[in-house]
Amino acid sequence: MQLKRAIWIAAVFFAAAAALGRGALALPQYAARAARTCDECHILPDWDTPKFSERKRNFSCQTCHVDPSGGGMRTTAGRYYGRATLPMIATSPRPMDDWDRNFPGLGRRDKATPYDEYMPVGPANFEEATAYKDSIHDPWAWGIPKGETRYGPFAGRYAKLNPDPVLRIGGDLRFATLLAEGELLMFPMQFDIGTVLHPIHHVTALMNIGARGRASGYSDTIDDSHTPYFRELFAMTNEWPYQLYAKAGRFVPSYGLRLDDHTNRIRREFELDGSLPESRVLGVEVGAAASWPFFNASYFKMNSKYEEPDPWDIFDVDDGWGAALNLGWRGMGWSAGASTIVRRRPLDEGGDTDTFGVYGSFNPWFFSARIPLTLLGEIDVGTVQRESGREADQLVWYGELDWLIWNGVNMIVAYDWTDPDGDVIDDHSGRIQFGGQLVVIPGVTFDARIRRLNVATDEGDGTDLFLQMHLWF
Amino acid sequence: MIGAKRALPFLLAVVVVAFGCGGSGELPLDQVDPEAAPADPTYDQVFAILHNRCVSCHAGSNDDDDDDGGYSASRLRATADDTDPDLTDCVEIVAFAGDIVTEIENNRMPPGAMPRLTSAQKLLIRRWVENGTPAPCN
Repeated sequence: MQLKRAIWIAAVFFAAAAALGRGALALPQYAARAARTCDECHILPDWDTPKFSERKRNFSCQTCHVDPSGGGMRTTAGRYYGRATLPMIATSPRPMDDWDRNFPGLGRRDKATPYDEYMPVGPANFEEATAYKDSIHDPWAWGIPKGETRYGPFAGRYAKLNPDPVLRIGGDLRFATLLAEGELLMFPMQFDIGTVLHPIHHVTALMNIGARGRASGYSDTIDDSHTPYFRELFAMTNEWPYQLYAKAGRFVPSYGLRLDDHTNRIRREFELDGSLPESRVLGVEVGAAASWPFFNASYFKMNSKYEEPDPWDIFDVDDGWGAALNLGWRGMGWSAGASTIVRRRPLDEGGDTDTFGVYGSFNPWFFSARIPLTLLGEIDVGTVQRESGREADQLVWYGELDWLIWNGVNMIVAYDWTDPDGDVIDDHSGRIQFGGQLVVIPGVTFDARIRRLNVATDEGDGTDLFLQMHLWF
Repeated sequence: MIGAKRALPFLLAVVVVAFGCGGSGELPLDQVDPEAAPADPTYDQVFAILHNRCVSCHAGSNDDDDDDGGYSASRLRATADDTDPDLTDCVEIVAFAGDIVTEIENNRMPPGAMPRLTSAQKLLIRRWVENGTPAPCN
């Protein structure tokens, strides 16, 4: 009965999804940071270390997101992180190392984590987990698949959250304000509604519907040129040893750091701008994340670079094809990865592209509690075919430093730089941004950035103030 | 405090590398590769660029600045005569073509710290204007 009601709610949400929207992606700094302590992603009982193939501990996108490539709907571990670690006021047990990192006068260590009296409790191993199924109380997730698997998340490891629901609905809503050159602009940036169906173990389907945002305001957001569309729609078999998975459908290929800033040039220059339908492909992807090593490999067909794909027909693709490979190692205090993506298509569909990038993170916080910093970086080189058929060299890089002052209060300095055509004079530009993120309660993030773009000619340099409220559930 | 002290070298490194990077190339795109943009760009090619880079702001009615509760993209920058072009509309794209070229080639648009158009995109739009803005609405 509950499931039936949930399906009705899902239908209502799909109708609501025909509204606004743009670009909900992951935050790689969270992944790098979360490696610091185990109890950021689940409660910390005396857990029997399982066989290597059964471990779900990794710092890949797929730990926190249903889409293994990252972004959008969150897994139970991602939801737990969002409740326990991310906000100033936690609603799940706070990680032990963060008990003294609450904002002065705020925090829930005396309520969510009454550590003076007792520690959170959970199962010590797979066999004990079934006893915790009755403790689940999760209004945003319904059902549990029949049977058991050692490769999926267990009841009791995420407080009262449903570890592996049959149906879950989630959303990412972003409302933005841009102040540029003395003018104020408010607009809906994103309105994504996602649904995950997981009827049996090893089978998952993800549907994420959103629409392109429009800065001219709320009433203009939906029209012929900004219609809602399937941002992601794929079927996946997952929960296999070493967290192996395979998925097929519409998605954004896995490549580099998947930032939430869709204007960042490490995304935009390589047709990976998460806000654009054109970044979506139809393909298959396989991958795994075995504690530390990870890989994602995909083969795909895509639409012309100059045409929007059909919003609902995911099989609307043209003649070209592409492939992407992303692999590396994510350790507790650092990570390093390499990505490549190639596209082969006729010139009138955008021509060939070859891109190679290396990226990584460093989390000194893991080595010393006195250094709550996280560093991210990526460098990409590539070639793109001009209309003439000749190749142009591209160079793009990105760096970011995060300083988590208290839980829920993060300061950021970031810089991205691009030279889109190595043969052309004065077409490079760099952008620096300073800002911060405030997460007072789970599900609400405020983000403020002052950004300065420096173009090579100096004519046209620009500064703006970008504010956003991100609601997520 | 120790955290802040150790953070300083990282910050300095980021800033030094960031501002020490120079681009390459010695000539503008139309001299490097005259065929980098088609000699006769089509309206569809121009529209595709505007659609992805401009329409999120420059779209919708331009006769009502307050239809969204007092906020309107038209206030961000008026390109001519204090009116704002609807860049989803063929007639207005053609009418404002000259202003569009001026704005994007001077890097005034997109505004603020939004990434500017690439050389290839600018060249394509300029050639389209030089060819007399061929469009289905002409």
